[in-house]
Amino acid sequence: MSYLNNYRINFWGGISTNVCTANNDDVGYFYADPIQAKLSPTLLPMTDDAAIETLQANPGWNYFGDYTTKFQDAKISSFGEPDAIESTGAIVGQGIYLLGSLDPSNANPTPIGSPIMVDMDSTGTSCTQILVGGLQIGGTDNPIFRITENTRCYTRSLQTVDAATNNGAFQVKSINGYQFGKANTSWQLSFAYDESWEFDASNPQIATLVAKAKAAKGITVVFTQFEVVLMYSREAIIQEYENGNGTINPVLGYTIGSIGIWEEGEAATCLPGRLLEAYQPIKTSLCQSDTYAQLNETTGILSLNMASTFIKPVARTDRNDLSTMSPTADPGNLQLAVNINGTLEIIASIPYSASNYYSTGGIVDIQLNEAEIATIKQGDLQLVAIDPATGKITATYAQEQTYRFISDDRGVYVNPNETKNLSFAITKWGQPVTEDLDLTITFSDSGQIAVEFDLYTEMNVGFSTKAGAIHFNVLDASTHTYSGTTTIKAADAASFQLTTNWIQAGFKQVNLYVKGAQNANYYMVIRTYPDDDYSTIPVAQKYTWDFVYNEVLRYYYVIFPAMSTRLPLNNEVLISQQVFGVIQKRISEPYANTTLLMPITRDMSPGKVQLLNEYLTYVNQ
Amino acid sequence: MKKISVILGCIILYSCSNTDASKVEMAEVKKVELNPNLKPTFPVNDPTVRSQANFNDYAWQMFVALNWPASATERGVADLTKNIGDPGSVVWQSFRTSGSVFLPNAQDPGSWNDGYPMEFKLKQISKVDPAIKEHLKSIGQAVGGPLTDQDSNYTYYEKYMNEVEYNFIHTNKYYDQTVLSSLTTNMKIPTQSMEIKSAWKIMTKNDDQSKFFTAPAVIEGLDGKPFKAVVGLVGLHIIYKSADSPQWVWATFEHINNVPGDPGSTATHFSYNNPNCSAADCPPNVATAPKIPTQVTRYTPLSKEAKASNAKWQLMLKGTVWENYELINMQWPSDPNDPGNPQGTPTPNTMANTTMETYIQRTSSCMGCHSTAGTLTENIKTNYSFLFLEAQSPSKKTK
Repeated sequence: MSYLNNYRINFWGGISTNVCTANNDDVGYFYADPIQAKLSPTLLPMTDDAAIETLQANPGWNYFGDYTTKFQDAKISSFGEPDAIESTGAIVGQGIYLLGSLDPSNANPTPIGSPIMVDMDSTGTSCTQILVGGLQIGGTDNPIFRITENTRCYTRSLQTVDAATNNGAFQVKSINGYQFGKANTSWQLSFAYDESWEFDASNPQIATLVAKAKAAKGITVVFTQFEVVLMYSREAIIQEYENGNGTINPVLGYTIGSIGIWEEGEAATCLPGRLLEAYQPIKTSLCQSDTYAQLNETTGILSLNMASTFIKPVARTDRNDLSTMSPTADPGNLQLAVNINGTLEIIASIPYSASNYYSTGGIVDIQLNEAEIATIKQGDLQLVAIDPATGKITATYAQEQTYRFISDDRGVYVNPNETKNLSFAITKWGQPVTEDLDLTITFSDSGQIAVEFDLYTEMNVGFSTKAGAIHFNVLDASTHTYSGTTTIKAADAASFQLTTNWIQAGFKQVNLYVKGAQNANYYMVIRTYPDDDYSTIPVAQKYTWDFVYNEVLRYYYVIFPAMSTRLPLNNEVLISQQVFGVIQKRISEPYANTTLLMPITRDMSPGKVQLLNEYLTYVNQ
Repeated sequence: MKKISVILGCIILYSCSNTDASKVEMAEVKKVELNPNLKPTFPVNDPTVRSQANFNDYAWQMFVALNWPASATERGVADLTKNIGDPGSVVWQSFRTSGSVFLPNAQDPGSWNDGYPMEFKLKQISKVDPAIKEHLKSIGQAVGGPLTDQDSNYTYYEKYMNEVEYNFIHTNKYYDQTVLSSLTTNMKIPTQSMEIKSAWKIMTKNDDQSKFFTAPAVIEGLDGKPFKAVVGLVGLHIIYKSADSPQWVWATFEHINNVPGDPGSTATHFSYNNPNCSAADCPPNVATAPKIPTQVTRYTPLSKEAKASNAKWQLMLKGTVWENYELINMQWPSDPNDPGNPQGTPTPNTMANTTMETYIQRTSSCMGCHSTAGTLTENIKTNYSFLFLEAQSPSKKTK
């Protein structure tokens, strides 16, 4: 059971994100050492003004971004039990909003900021995260549902859509050759039920949702992000900076999503169900992203999340107009099939609507009979099209990933000398694994920096299981790719742990392969902080503005100007004497899981946090 | 502030010139027509269509209403017997200064109209004016601090609030720091509250005083000794909490002769810039030692929308001293009512007044910075107003 198999409230609309591209590989190595959170050797010897001028002449697509991420004009479109979805009701048309965090230092009941999207690995392209402080349905003046709880979600099912299949000529902005119109991502957030939830009990849909959430673990919110488009082209945003304007350049895209029930034992941030990946080479296929399928054993309804399955060939003509959604590609006579030892068996027709899929969260429900239920447990699911006249398969769109990893450990931060237990579950065809599994773990660099500048890094963490440390061999010396193997016993597959330990500062993508799979079954991005230690530096040297500014704050002043629109980070008196209390709070532990933590980029090592904190205490004693 | 709507028509002025002690000749009658768009009525609501051009006009409407000659007896009220540009103090000058509200020992500041009319006093020389602790030895080149004009005088600042905000503070005793410290939820300042921040320079023989809005002031020098001077207005912030902008709207104006490059300026003497001093000798926008003029340049040139708005309104104000002032920009929330976006998306993202955000122009954002405003004890946020940092604690009573 999951959100797929239970009562849902569906929505669609827009999603906007305003990340700062210094926390992104567009700026890259020439300007920042993102591992050490320091300016690169290119910028370091320059004055602040000269460094900023250099950055603004060759910027990423959003130098002044402040990381604000939010739904935009997203509204409830339908609700109901699987296979009984309704599109009229009191809740339809209500706005849905992700909220920023409450301030942990006071009792104020409303947030002061927004959710934020922050990369763990600013050189990477495979994984980012959105931190959230709550959820609301209904606007400021008339909320009907509000949760305040800190949580986060990670990139899932990232796909980049190829230009050949997306003929939207508009605003296909290209910054440094990366086509931003084309990333397609899925996300999942979960909120544990709490008595503090505020809701309008007279709204039947909300009342139903809350009652079911209370009987389970809580609610989960699954949503996509696609057809994201910048506001300014590269040429135009550089012109803005040359004109002295601190203009932001957020991306705006569509979202399709569902609020459902979060059951005990389910992952919070990992979409549940069996995972079907795009089958054919992306360039020629109408299917470019993942489908998730899960069976309700009680009702026999198989529910498929197809919000991202098929491409949307025609982009919107007006960047800001999200009021309509053009159809996806038409997959034809779409069928669910099962591949059992090489033989394909057609199970059932899938009532997918290319023109209306988004109004039901992209979720399709199919009632199966007992025989069909038994069959789908015997092999990989596939999405195919068949010629109704001949019954022959005319297209194969998606193929199940036989062994599915479920884990909330997607983006991982590891402090110096820290170990962390990472938890995973593996299923086969949506069921418990019955055989021991060979697991291969490889390390690779997650971003373009390594590839473009030949700056591959060493392993930044080690791994071990209860059986002991996993030994890693060099898989490819030129790219510093390492590989290690271990065995997961069948009995452990439903819940096993890898323990990771800090080795050195860095970013790495860790890929997990089961039984020699060609493509990774799962990946994580692991960021390890530098072991900055200022303990041996004399007090008279380190507790000075010059030292602290150059060691800690200058990086943020130059690279992330949005922070300085709130608190000018180069202002000694302001930072050291007037707002020192605010800074000390914002870098402290109670803010760690909020959207209010400073720095927003979460790249300040524990040693630097300590230095900054001690300096501010010292000058104000 | 009372809401009185009056449309003024033409006004005929007579002037006499006395060129012969034995004769009185009537000079040619001058007919000055006041443009009907110049109104003493403050525009309480945001533009219906939210665009930069409309907000710029909104800013000018505020500027005109606030710079209308003030009633001699009632704070915050325009003198409708006068026109904009007529001599005398103006409406915003009759608002309560922050110093008259946040009194020593948290004394009750009394009724709104108390102490009016008052002597114009200035003493604050920095937008942020902290005590500098002795053990901070570093130079801090890029920091804020006093702004010194080309005549080697400091620039002076004063802050004001309107009656709505005053009553909110007074009723709730928010002039008392101990009351503020006890709050547990963020402050919500009422709609139609307004704050003004003004920047003034001391008029010298190098200034054409006819082009400045001037006022006689008593200035408290750094040594604590008062002296009298005529000061000219060089910068004006207007922040207003409208019904549709919970993040407030933020207009800023400057005198057109502050720095080179502003349209309409014919200055040969700029208040804050020496065109003959090289960047090497006079690095721009860097705080200087006392008595050394600060070389100021405008980091962000006026936008085409601001220029268009200025051209229109300066023409309407032609013949008054106010034609020598310009809107730099107005910052407004383009997404004001989104629960997921409490900051409201400040538009434009950055904005700076060269007299008040001199050293932080590149990243200056009124809304961004003011969103951090809180009490002295940082227990709560104070709804975009920094004025509450001036709240004082009551004196301890001795037994």
